[in-house]
Amino acid sequence: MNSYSHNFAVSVGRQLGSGGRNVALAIARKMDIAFYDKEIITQAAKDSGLAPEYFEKVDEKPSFPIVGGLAGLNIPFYSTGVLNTDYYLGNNNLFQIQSRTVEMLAEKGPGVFVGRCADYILRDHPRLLTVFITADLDDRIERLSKLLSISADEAASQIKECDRKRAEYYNYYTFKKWGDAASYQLCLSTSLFGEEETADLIVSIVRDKLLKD
Amino acid sequence: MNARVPTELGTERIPKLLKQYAVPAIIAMTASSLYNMVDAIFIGHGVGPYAISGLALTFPFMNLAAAFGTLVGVGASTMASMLLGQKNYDIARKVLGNVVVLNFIIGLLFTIVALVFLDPILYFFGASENTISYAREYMQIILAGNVITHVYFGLNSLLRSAGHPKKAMAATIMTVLLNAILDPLFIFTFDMGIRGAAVATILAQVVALVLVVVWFCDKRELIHFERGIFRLERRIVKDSIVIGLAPFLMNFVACFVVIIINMRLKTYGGDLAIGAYGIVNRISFVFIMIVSGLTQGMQPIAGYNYGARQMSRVYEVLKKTLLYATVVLTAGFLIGELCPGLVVAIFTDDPELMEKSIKGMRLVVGMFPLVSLSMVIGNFFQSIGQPKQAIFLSLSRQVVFLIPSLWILPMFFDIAGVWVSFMVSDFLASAVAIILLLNFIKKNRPHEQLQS
Repeated sequence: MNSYSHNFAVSVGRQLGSGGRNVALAIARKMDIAFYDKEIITQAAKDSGLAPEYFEKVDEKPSFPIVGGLAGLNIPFYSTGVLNTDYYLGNNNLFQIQSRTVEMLAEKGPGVFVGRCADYILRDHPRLLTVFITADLDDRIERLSKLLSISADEAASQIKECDRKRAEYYNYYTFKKWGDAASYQLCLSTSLFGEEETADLIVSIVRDKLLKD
Repeated sequence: MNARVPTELGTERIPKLLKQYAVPAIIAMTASSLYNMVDAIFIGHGVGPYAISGLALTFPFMNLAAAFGTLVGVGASTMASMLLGQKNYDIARKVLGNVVVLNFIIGLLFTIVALVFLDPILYFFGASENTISYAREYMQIILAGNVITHVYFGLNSLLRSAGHPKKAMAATIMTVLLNAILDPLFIFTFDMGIRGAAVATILAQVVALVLVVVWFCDKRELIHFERGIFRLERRIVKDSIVIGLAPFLMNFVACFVVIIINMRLKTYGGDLAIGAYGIVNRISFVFIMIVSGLTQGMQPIAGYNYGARQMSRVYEVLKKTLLYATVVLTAGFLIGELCPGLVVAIFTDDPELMEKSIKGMRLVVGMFPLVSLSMVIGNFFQSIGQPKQAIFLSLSRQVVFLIPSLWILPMFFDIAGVWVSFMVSDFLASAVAIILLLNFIKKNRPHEQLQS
C-alpha cells in the first residue's frame, strides 16, 4: 500500500456540508493510506461480534444513559450500596468497544479517521494530526442540498440538527468542545481553500511535521 | 464495563460465565444485607421488642439517605469507569474530588434538615409514643454521622469502578465485621442501648472511610487525591446528577412505599407489627439480595449475546438464571414456612413480637418461588436494552400492585391483609413478567430462524 518511515494518523472532524469527508478522502488518496469513516463502525461490529445496528444507533449521536440508569433496578427497600446502571448494550460500553477498534486500526498502519472522537481516542498516538474542517454556512447549505437533492431550507435544518448532535456526542465523551479551535491542532475552511487545496495543505503539513526525522 | 472481553461472552460455556460474573456480585450483595441484619439482632436482644419497631421506623430514612447517595454516586461511577476506559486520568481524578465535595454537601444538608424536623418526620413515618424515643435516639446518631456515610459510600463505589472491586468489597466486609464486634461492646458493655448500635455503625464506617481515603492517597493509583481536584466542575456535577436522577427517584419511591407499609401495619397491628415487618423484611432481604447478585451476573452475558444475535445462548443464560434464582427463593420460602420461629429467634425472644413476626413471615414468603420471574425477567429486559419493560416490572411488583392491595386487603382481613398484599403483588407481577417474556419470545422468532 505505501511505505512511510513512521506510522501516523490524521483525524478529521467536520461540520455537516463542509466537505470534510471529501477532504479526508483526498488526503487518503494523495498519500495512499487507509480511509476510515463508516468503516469504523462496521469494523467495531466485526471485532466485538455485536450486530452493526447497535453501533449505527449510537453513531455520533448524543447519549445519556438516563433510561439505562432507571432500568431493572428493583426498588431497594433499603440501602444496598450496590447499584448497577450501565449495561452491556449501553452507549458508554459501545463507545468503549469502538474506541478499541479505532486504536487497533491506527496501530495497523497510517490512516485518516473521520469524526467519531478519533482525535481524542488517539491523543496519545506519537504522530497524530488533529484537523477540523469548516465552511461558511451558505456553502454548506449549497453543498448538502446538492448532495442529497433537497431544498436549501431542509439542508439548513439538517445542518443545525447534525451540528447539535455531533457536538453533544463529542463533548460528552471527550470533555472538550466540538468545533472549538482549542480542541484541534488545525482548523481549515473549505470556503477559503476548496476541498482539493485543503487536502494538499494538510498533506504537506503531515509530510513536514509528522514525518520529519 | 468489560469492553475488552466480548468474545469470551459469546463463546465460553454459559454456566462457567454465570459463575464468573455472578459470584462476586452475590458476595457483595450478601455482605450488604448482613450489614443491615447485625444491628437488628443486637438491638432485638439487647434493647427490646419496641426498639426493633423503632429501628424499622427508620427504614424510610435509610431509603432517603440512599436516594441522595445514589444521586451523586451512580453518575460519578458511570463517568469514572468511562473515563478510565479512555485512560483520561486527569478528568477521572476531578470526578473523584468532586464526588467527595458533593457527597459532603448533600450529606450535610440532609443531616441538618432531618435533624431539625426529626420528630415530625418520624411521626409521619408511623412512630408512636412507645417507639419514637428509640427511633429518635438511633437516628440522631446515624444522622450526625451521615456525612461520613455519604462520603464513604461514594468513594467505595468509585473504588469499584476504578478497577479495585476486591478492595471495595474488602472495605464492605470489614464494616460488617467491625459493626458486629462493636455492637455488643456499645450496647452491652457500655450500656448505651439503641444509641450503641448507631455508634457502632458510624464507627465502623469511619474506619472504612479512613481505609478508603488512604487507598486513594496512594500516588501510584491511577486516580488519587491531589490539589485542585476538589473544585466543583459544572460538567461533572451536572452529569452526575442527570445520570443519578433515575436511581434517585427509584429510591425515593421506595421510601414512600415503606412509609405506606408502616402506616398500614401500625393501623391494623400496632407498633409491634412494624417491628415484625422489620424482622421479616431483613430475613427475606437476604434471599432477594442473593438473587439480585445473580441477575447482575446475568446482565453482561445476556446483553452481549443478544447484541451478537446468539439467541440460543440468550435463552440459555435466562433459563439458568431463572433456575438458580428459583432455587434460592424456594429455600427462602421453605425456611419461612417450615421453621420461621428459628430465624425470627435470631432477632428477638419477645413472645408477642415473635408470634407476629412468624405469622407475617409465613404470608410474606408465600409467593417467593415466583418472585424469581419478575426479578430475573426485569433485569433481563434491562440488559438487552429494553428498559421500559424493566421499569414497568419493577414498579408493578413494588408499587402498582402493592399499594392498592395494602389499601384494600386490610379492610377485609385486618393485619393478615397487609401481609397478604405482598403475596398478591408478587403473584400479579410474576404473571406480568411471563406475559412480557412470552411476547418477547414471539417477537424474536425471526431472529432464531435466521440463525439456524
